[in-house]
Amino acid sequence: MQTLTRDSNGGKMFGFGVAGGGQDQPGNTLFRTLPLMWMNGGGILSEDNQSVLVNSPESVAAIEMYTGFFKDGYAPPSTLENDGLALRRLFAAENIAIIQGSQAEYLLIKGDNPDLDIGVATLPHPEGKQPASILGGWNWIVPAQAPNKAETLKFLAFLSSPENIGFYTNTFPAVQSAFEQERHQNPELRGFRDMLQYARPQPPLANWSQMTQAYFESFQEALLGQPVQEAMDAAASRIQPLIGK
Amino acid sequence: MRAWKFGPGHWFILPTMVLLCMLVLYPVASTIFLSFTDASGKWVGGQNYTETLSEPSTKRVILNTLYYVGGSVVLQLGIGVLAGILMNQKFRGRSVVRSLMLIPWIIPGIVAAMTWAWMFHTDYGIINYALTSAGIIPGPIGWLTNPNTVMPALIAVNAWKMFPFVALMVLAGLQSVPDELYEAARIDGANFLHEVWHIMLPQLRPVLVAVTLLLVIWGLDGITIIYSMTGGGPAGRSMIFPIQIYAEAFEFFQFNRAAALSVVYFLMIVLLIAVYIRVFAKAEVE
Amino acid sequence: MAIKNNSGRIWLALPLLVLLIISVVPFLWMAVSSLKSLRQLYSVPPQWLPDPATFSNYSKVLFESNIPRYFLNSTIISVGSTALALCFAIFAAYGFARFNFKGKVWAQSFVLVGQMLPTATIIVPLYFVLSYFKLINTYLGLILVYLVLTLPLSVWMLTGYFKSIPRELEEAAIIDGASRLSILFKINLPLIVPGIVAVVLYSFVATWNEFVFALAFATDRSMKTLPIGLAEFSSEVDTDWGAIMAASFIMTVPIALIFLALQRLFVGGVMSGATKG
Repeated sequence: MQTLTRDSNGGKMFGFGVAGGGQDQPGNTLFRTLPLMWMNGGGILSEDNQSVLVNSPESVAAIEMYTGFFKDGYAPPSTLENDGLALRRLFAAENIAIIQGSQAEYLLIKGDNPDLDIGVATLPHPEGKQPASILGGWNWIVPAQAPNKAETLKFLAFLSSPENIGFYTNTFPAVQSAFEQERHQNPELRGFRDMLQYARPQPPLANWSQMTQAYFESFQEALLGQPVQEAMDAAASRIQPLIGK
Repeated sequence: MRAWKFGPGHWFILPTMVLLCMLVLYPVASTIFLSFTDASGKWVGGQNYTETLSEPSTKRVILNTLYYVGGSVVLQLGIGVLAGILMNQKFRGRSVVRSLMLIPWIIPGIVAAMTWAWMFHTDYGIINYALTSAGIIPGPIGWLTNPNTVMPALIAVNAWKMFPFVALMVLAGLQSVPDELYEAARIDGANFLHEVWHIMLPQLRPVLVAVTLLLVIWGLDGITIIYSMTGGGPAGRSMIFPIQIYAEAFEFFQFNRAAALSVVYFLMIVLLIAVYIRVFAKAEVE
Repeated sequence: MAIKNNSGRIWLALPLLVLLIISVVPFLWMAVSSLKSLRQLYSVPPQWLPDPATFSNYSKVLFESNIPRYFLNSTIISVGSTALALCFAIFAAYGFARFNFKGKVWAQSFVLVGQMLPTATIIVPLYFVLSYFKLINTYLGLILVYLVLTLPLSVWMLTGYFKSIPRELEEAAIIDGASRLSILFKINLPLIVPGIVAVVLYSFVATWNEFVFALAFATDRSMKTLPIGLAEFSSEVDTDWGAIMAASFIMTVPIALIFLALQRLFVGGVMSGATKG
């Protein structure tokens, strides 16, 4: 990650886009920072979801690097109100040089500003450690009390067959074999496909949204100037009682 | 106890009362019930209350709410009274100006909030651009990201949104001031400011008392502006009580805690209103 | 009452100008933005005027989105809710204004309480009520629910207006043997037409702009209202600001026109009852 420091000419163009606020939170910040923590060996919760990891040295180091982009002036002053969408807009308007994003966003940027010369790179990882990425997406849910359950399940089976899921998705299919389809062979999206093998999902916990909200507020405190270790300790103390509930 | 005779008064209010009972009593009762149970319906007594009220953020949320509502109401009244008095003067194009000044009130809340958030944006917002181009400020200000400016900015938007309503009420109230009063004062040598202070404001008192009550009630329920502009951020600096309730219910799905918070909040509102009525409006509300 | 001297005019004109600018500029910014292409909306530094102006946002809103249907829905629901609130409120307000009866203070307080309920709290229970009567995603359902918003204030305002009518007018009619109802309709209502206009306008605006209830209770595409339609331009990965601004403009114009048309009546209406409101 150390090799990712960019020099930027302050003023008009900034080096890196940090998601510090905005509407789609805490999701946008989570998606951009959680992989960084994972790569370094940290995270919000441990692998078994039983203990808090957000204030471990590894996690703190990752957050320090990320918030450092803002504190050192590589990210724009509006960082605390920028969510993923704002960052993408600023990127397309040639105001930011590097952003983290998904393949859907890549295609949208090309649509917004076709003349923009952009490339895709996989997320760099610390020396000697594993890369990581986060698995987003959508889930199908059939409530236990729903009428027409059998028909719904049949319909879902139809939708999740490789041909259909490869066809209807607007990002990547959830079924591996569907990757062979024509539309997913786009060489520009290679970088995104490569990261998929390292992707981890978020833990399926009932109060995950409360935990991530606590994390996000501490993250913003760090951006506002609080030392990162302190901020993450505060987050940890709020997340700890939520475990196992 | 006397037998309850159903007089004409009762009949007149009956339809409304029945309707409101259905639409109000059930939610209130169900909320109270929810606040004393947990997600599985089991009775847990005051647990939801102690949990939510002992959160470290609760004190700041309450202070933010008081700051936001207090600041908003003061500005709404101040600007609104000024606007109403000005609107009362005779000048050409008066009805056009009156209509134009209603615009902030008419615009849907969500539209106003989004437009202002966009204008306030540190990098692509028009406000920073205009101010730096004119040399009024040296560099862009993080209106919605700086903890020192975020609440004043939000209060300003809220004041902008509601002052036309106050102006309208003030304008209406001023119509009932008889011209003789102004003439008598003029003869006594009063200037415009005297007229404002000694004639207009006293006559406006009943209107202002009622309007302030409305502004406070609406202010305490105002979710849209802050939710759309900052979401309560940065880091909870602009989080107010009603948004906290909303988040508990619809983002964390903790309906029981949300219910507890609602009950507490509602009691606070009722207390505030009762004190207000007792102090200012005993004569007005019979 | 007018300011006669010239230096006085400056004191009038200057604050007026400032207030006017403050009121109108955001709306102008909104209107101007609706004519910009997507790329120009996000330029840094921002551009004042579109270059060139494009109507693509408007054509998208009018022809490619559901906004026209939502416009119809909003109209039906707002008109229905306003009319219904008016009917109920007229009777209740007259009852509060003219009669003293047991439990009157409790009833009035209850109406006031209805005004004060936090929105977030009552959505979920109201959903259960509506769903029990099978009124989710129906016009009637939303109209009824909006009564919670419009009825308390309408009753409160109209009570004040009724009180401002001198009792002698009615007493004369009672001596002549007229019934209460006919007095209400033949004497009182004509006298407070301005007040009724005020209540109608307030209710209409409140329901037209209302977002949270519509979001919760109108989930089917055929039933959604304009404010929800606005939010639809904000999808998971994109916020179509140009379309939102254009749709906002379309949403605001009807109300502005109604206000302009009824302005004289409205101001007059608010006048008569304000001191007792």
